[in-house]
Amino acid sequence: MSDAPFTFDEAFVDVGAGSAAHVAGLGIEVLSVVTRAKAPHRYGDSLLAAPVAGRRAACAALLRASQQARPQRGSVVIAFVVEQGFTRRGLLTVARSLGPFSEAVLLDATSATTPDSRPPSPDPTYLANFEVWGLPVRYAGTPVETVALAAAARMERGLVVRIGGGE
Amino acid sequence: MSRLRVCLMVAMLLIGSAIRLPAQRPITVDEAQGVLAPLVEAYGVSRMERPVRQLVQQYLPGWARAETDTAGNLWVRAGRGDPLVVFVAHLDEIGFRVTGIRDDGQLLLEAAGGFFTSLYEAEPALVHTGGGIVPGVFTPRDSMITRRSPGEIRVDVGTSSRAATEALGIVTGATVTMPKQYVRLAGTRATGRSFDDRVGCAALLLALSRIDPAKLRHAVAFVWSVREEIGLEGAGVAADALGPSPGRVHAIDTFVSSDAPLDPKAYALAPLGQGPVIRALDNSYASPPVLVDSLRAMAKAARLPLQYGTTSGGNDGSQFAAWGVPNVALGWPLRYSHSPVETIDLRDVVHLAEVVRLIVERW
Repeated sequence: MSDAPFTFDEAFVDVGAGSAAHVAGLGIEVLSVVTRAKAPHRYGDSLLAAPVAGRRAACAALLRASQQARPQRGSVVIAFVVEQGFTRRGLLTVARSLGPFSEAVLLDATSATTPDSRPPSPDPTYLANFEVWGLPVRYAGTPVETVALAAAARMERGLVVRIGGGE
Repeated sequence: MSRLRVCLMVAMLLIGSAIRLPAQRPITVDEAQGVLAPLVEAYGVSRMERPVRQLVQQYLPGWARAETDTAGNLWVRAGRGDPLVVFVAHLDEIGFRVTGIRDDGQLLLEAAGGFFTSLYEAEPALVHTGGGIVPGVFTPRDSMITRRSPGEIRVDVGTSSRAATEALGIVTGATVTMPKQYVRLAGTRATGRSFDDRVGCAALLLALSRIDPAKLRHAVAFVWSVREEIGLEGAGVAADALGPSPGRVHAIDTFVSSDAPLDPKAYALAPLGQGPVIRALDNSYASPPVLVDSLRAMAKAARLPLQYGTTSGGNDGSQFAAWGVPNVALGWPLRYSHSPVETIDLRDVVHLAEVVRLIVERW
């Protein structure tokens, strides 16, 4: 028997209904958002697996750092942006409405970034000078994308220093 | 209100409740769910059925005396006289066994039971050891983008050496599952993993909860069997123990519904919610038509929905066939069989339990 993955043409969601009217009665309609059921799964030595675990861990690091750090000079904008994997509309809106910034740090779930692998700026005018801090993940893009919480804690400590005006 | 009147009213209420004997109450959907949900959430890959067996024992009625045989099958007997009628539902579920530990600490696996191993790919994993559960993940294929067919599935428990993995208490032969949860869907439907055959286990328990053993006209034996998924092994031990003595056996197991959108409807169609199913013919056994007809007529007279059909696979009752024991296997419609999202209709569980009760009391 074939064990090939199914395609979108074969993808149905069974909500337990027996008719279209029953589905509509549940409030489900075209464009309703569907996700997989998920829960964070801890394993190994402080590893955490979940869909987009790396990006969410970076969000958590930034959130915790923003609660601890106090800027010593200038002003600091903390932004949690939307649609980064789609149109980058969130990042562009922040840059154009609150920028240009003298410097910026973009957080994401990636392997450690080197200067050679730095991505092009989404908007050179408003976001010219930026760094990417990558949080290393294993099994990226899968339901068990795995991040080391120790790495997220290191990112948090680095952000506290950076927000406070350090390097 | 005088003290005497209060006492009299209490007495009347007690008399009133006694008229509605527990044995006469119909089984409800909520009751079925109350028994089924914890059974579904228990883990018991073939050869490691103890947690499920212990849970079944907890749900037995007070009169039931349970015994566990050398294979691990759980038995409850009731009534006296011929014919002895045997019901068999299996405790075990599909999963994996550890076959080795690699130098990098990852676990090599073999499937316990028949299923698409890719359904476990990139999912959380639970390794069941003598010291408890060790969490991990089923490894994704090396490239989710370019590799179209799944590779060898392994488990990563977060270690980087064989010694570190062994230090977690993981040994060859340990069973591996993924986390699971009973989830109620719309209406009376529910989904989860290992409804096969926890629905059968629950149906027997629900039927037992309504049976008065003093009123049975013949002997019955309820068997919760082990190792069905890897070759009907537990049922084989039970069949050998009883030999030719049973007058009939009823395996209680799944019937793949074939009513999902992508299923071909020409074969084995038994829609969810339309009642349990007589598994009249499968790869292991053909039920005597006269018995199939008799049971259908009896269910019709009792106004219980009962479908019948043919399917593939085998069932525990076939192990009794070598002793000449007729087998009339019963199932319930199941969608997405042997997947993490097996789906049922709870009304079928209720009616399955009622059919079992009907057979015990009247056939």
